Amino acid sequence: MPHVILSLLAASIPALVDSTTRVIGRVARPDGAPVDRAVVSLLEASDTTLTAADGRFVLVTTARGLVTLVVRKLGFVPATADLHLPIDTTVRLTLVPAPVIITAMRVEAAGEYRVASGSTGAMTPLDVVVTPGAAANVMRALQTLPGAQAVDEGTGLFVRGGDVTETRVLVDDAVMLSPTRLDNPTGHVTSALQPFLLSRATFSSGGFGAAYGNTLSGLVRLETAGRPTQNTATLSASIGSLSAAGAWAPRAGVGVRASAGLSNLAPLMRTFGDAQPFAPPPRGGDASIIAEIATSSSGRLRLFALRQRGEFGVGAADITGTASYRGDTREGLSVLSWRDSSTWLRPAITIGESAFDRREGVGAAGLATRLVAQHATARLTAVVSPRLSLLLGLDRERLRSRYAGDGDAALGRPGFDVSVPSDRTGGVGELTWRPVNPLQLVAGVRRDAYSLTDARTVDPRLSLAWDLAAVGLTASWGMYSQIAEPLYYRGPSSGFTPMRVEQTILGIQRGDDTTGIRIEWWHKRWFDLQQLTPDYVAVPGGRGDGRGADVQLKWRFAANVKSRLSWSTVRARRTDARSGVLAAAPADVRHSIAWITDRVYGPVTISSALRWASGRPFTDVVGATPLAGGGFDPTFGAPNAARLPNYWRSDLSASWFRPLSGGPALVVWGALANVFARDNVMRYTWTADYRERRPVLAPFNRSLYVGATLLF
Amino acid sequence: MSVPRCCSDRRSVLPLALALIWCAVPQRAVPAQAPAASAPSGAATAPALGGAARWADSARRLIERGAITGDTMRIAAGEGVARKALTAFPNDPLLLHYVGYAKYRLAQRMEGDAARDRFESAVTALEASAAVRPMAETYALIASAKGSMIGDSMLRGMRLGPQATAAEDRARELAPGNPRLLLLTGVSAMFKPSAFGGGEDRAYERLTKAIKAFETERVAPPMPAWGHAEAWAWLGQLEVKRGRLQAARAAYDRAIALEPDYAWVVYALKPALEKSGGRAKS
Repeated sequence: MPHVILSLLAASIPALVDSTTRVIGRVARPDGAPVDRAVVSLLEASDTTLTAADGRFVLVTTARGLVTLVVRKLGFVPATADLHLPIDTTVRLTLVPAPVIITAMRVEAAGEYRVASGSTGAMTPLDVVVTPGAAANVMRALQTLPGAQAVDEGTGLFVRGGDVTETRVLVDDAVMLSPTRLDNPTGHVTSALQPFLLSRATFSSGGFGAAYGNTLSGLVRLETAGRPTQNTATLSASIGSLSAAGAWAPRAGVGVRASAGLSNLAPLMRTFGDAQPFAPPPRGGDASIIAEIATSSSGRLRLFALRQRGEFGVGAADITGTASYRGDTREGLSVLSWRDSSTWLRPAITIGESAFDRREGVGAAGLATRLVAQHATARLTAVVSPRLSLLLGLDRERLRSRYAGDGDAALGRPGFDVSVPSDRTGGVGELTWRPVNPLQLVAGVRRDAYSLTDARTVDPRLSLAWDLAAVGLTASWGMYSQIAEPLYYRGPSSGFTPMRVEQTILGIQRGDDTTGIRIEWWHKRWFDLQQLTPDYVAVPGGRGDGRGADVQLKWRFAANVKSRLSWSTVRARRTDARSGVLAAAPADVRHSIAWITDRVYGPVTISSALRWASGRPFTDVVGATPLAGGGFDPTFGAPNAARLPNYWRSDLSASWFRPLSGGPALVVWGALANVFARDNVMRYTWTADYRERRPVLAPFNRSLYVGATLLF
Repeated sequence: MSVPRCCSDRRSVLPLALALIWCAVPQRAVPAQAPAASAPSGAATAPALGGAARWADSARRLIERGAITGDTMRIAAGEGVARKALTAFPNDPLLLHYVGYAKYRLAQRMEGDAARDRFESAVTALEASAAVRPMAETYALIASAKGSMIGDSMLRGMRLGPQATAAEDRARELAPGNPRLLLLTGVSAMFKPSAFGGGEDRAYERLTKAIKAFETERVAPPMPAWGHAEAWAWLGQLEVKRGRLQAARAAYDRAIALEPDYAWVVYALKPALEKSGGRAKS
C-alpha cells in the first residue's frame, strides 16, 4: 500500500511542480493584420502578457475552469472569449478599432450660462424664484450671472457693454418682442415670463451658435414647461399679488397647463413707502396656457399662448425732474413648436407671433407703439455619426410696426404716425465635430437679408471646447448682426444698415456644478451702430470697442450651504449719439458683482444676495445758457465722462415647505428687499436753471414681501 | 507565479496527495469575488451564461443577496464585479445597471450627503445604462434615486421632483406592469404628499399590484429579479400605519418565507411590530 501511495505521488510530482496552464493564441485586426503589444489577461486572475509583433501570445496561468480572456489595446474595443481551462487549442481573437464615443461635454460653451445646471439637471424656475431681489423675474435672476452689467434696477439685460435692445429673448425659439421704450427712472424693462411657465432659461453673453440670428450682444433662451404627468393645482397669494395655476394630464402623452395672475404693488408701497412718486404704482395681469401632445417616443408638439398687461406711472422722468412718465403695455405671444429627436434626423420647427402694444408718455410727449412680429424657424439636425452632426436651418421674421408720436406745439415739435414693415430672412449651416473625444469644434455660418436695407450680412462663427479633465478650455470667435428696431429707420438713404459686432472669447473652467471656477476674457468691436439722441434723432454709423473678463465662482460652505459669486469687468467705448465722439458706453459699468448664497435647513430654505457695482457713466451738465423766450439751454460736459455713485444692495428670501394632512402642501415664502435701505442713485435731474443737480433714487425702499402657495 | 491556496499546503503527505487530486480535477470557475449565492425568488433556472451576461449575473446575485442579508460588503463586492467586467465589456447596459443598482442599495444604508453622493453616482451609472438599453427597472431606479435625493428639501424637491416623475413615466412607457416599477412607485407614494401623486391609498394599490405581478413573474438571469420579499415588507409597513397589525405580521411572514435571511424584516420590522403591540389582536 505504501508503494502505491508513493507511486501515485511520484507520478503526480510533475503536475504539482507545473500546475500552470498555457493559453496560446493570436490577435489580429478584422483585415487579418496582426496586432502587437495588445494586453492579454484573464478577468479572473492577475496573469497578463503582451502580444508579439506577429500578434501571437502565450499566457501562463494557474486558473482553471470557465474564465474570461480579455485582449485590450488603446483605440480598439476590448475582445473577450469564454474559455474552459486547461485548453489545448489556439485562441484567435479579433480587435475591432473603437469608434469615438461621444459623451456629454463637461465644458460649458463659451459665453453660455445657466441659472442652474448639473448632472441631475436644471430646474431653473425655482432658482429664479429663490434668487433674492429678483422678485421672481427671470431677467432679474439672469442679471446675477457673469456677463450682465448692473446698470439699473429694471429687468433689462445689458450684456458685455452692449445696449439693452441688443439682447434677444426667444421663447421655444420664437422671438419675444422687447422693444425700445422711452427713458424712465425705474430702469430699462424687458419682457419676461412667469418662471413657473418655464422649464429652463439659458443666458448667453456671447459666443452663441450660428442658429441664432438678429442679436448683437446677448441671448436669452426660454423653454416653456412640458406637459404635466399628473393633475395639480396651485393657488398663491401675497402682498400685492394673486395667482392660480393648474395642470391636467388626461392621458399619457397629453397635458395642459394654464395659469392666471394679478399684481398690484400699491399695498406694498403704501406699507413701506416709495422712493419715487409712483402714480399709479406698477400693476398688471397675465394669463397663459400650454398644451402639449407627444408625437413619438422623443417628439412633441407644443402650443404656448400668453397675454399680459401692465401699467405704471412715475414722476421725475425728464432731465429737470418735472415731468412724469406713464406707460400702459399689452403683450401677446403665441408659439407652436414641434421637436423630434427619435431618429438621426432631428427636425425642429417653430412658428410664433409676438404682439406688443404700448402707450407711453413723458410730460406732453407721447408715443404709441404697436409691433407685431411673426417668426418662423425650421431646423434639421443630422446626427451623421457619434462625432459629427450637421445643422441646416431657415429663419423668417416679419415685423410690422407703427409708431405714433404726439406733437408739442409749444416746442414746435410736430406729431408723427409712421408704419415701417421690416422683414428678415436667414439661412444657417453649422457643423459640430468631435475629432477626438475631449475636443469639440463647432463651425457655422449664417446669412441674413433685410427688407429695410440692401445690405446682406454673412456671419461666420467658430467655437471650441476642450475637456482636459483637470480644466476645460473654451474659445470662440464670431461676427454677429442685428437690424435695429424700425423706430431708428429714417428712410432708404439715412445710413440705416445692420449693426455688427466681432467678438472673441477665451475661457477656462475647473470644477463642477457646486464647486468650481470659470473665467472668460472677451473682446468686441462694434460697427454700424444705430443710436438715438435724447431728442430721438436717429444717428447711424456708430462704432466702438470693448474688453473685459467674467468670473464665476461656486463653492459650498457646508453640506447645506452653497454659494456663487459672479464678477464682471467691462471697459467699453461707443460713439456718443449726441456728440459723435467715442466715449464710455452707457453700459460701461467697470465692475458688477453678485454674491448669492442658499442655505437649506430641512424644509426651510434661506437665500441671500449681495450686489455691488461701480457707478455707470452719464453726461453731466456743466452750465446753462438763458434762452430769449425764457428757460435755459443746458451745456453738456464730456460725454459719459462722469459716474454715478457705486451701487450696492442686499436682499434676503426664505421659504418653508410643509405637507398638509390629506394631501395638499403649503409653501410659505417671504423676501426682505434692500435690507440695509441703501439709497442707490439711478440718475440725476437738474433744476430749471441747471445750477443744482438732484439724485433720482432707486424705486424701492426696504420692504418685506410675504406670501403663500397652496399646492393640490 | 502564484499558486492556488488549495495547492500551497505541503506540511504532510496526505494533504498533499488530496491536494493533487483536488487540483487535477477541473473546477467550474465562477468570476472572481463571486461566491455562490442562492437564487432569489422569482429567478428562473440559470441557463448557461457567457461573456458579459455571466459577469452581470454574478454581480446581480451578490448585490441582491447583500441587499437581503444587509451585507454592505457583499453589495460593494457586487459592484466591484460589475466594474471589473466593464473593463472587458465597456458600456454593457446590464453591467452599468448593476453598478447603479449597487450604488443605490449602498446609498439606502447611508444618510445625508454620503447618501446623496451615492444616489448621484447611481443615477449617473443608471442613465448610462438606459442610454444603451432602456429598461423599466433602470428608469424606476433613477426615479427612486432622484426621489430619495429630495429628502425634505423643497429646493431639491422642485428641482428633482419633475425629473423623478419623468423617469417614472419613461419606465411606465417601457413596461407598465413591471413588478419592480410598481414596487418602487408604491414606496415612493408612501413618502409623497397626495398633491404630488402620492398618498397611502396609492401606495397600497401599487404595492398590492406589485405583489401580484411578482407572483407570476419569471425572470431569466442575468435580468434583475429582486423585490418580491421587499414588496411584502413595505406592504407590512403600510398595514402597520393603518393599524392592521395582524395583516402586517402576515406580510412580514410572507417576506421571510420568500427570503429567510431578510435581515431588515427579521431583525427590524418584525421585532418592532411585536414590540409595539403586535401581539394584540387587531
